[in-house]
Amino acid sequence: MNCNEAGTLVAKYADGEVDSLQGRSIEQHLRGCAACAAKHQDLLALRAQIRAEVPYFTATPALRERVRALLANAQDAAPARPRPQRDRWRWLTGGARCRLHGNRARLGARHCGYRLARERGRRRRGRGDARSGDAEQPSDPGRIVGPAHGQAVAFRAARLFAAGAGSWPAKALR
Amino acid sequence: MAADDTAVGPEQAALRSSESRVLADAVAELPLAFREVLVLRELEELSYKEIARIADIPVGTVMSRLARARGLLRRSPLLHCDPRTDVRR
Repeated sequence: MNCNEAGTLVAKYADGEVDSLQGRSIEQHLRGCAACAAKHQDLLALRAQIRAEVPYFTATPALRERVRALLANAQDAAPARPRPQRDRWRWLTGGARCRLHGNRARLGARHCGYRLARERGRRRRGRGDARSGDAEQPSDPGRIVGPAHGQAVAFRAARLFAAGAGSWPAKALR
Repeated sequence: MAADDTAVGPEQAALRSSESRVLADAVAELPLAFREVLVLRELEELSYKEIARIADIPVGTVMSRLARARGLLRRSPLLHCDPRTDVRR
C-alpha cells in the first residue's frame, strides 16, 4: 500500500470503519510511513480535543420524552402514502366521470327547474292569486321565483351530486 | 500538609477555559452540513452508516463532509489565535 491508497483509508481507520483486511494493511503502512502516521495521530488528537473541550449536553429524561412524543406526533400527522401504481390514469378517468355526472346533472337541473316553476305557477293559480298567474313574473321583486329560482335550486342539487354526495340530494329541491 | 498536584492556579484555569471555548467556537462556526456530521461522529460516536441514515445523505458524502469539517477546523483562524495575548499566532 502506498501513501495515495492510504490517504483515504487513514480517516476510515481512525473512525473504526475498515474491515480486518484493510485494517491490517493500513497498520502495516502506518508503521513504515511517518507522514501517514502523523496524519493518523493528528486525527486522534483532534478527536480527543473535541471530546474534551466541546460542551456536550445530555437531555434530561423529561426533555427526551417530550422530543420523542413530538416525533411520534409528526410521524402520525404525515404518514407515508405510497403512490398508487395500478391506476395511473385515475385522475383523468375520474375527471371524465365527474364531467359526465356534471352534464347529466345540469340537464336534470334544467328539467327540474322548469317543472318546479310550472308547479309553483299552478299552485298560485289554484289559490286565485291574480298576479302570480304567470310563473315567469315574480310576484315580489325581493323574492326569486320562476324557472330561474327552480334552476338555481336544482343546480345546487346537481353540484352536490357531482361533488360526490352519492345519491341525489332530495333536500336541496325543497 | 502536601499541596494537591492536580490543583491549578487561577491563571492556568482561565487559560484552559478560554482554550476550550476557542475550540467550541470553532466547531460552532462550521457550516451546518459539516458541523452535523462532525458532532454525530465525534461526540455521538455514530458510525458512517448511522450518520448517513440520520442526515439522509450517502455514506460517501458523510466521509467527504467529515474530512472537510476536520480540515476547516484545523485551519480555523480561531484555533490559531493565542488566548493569552489575543493575537494570531
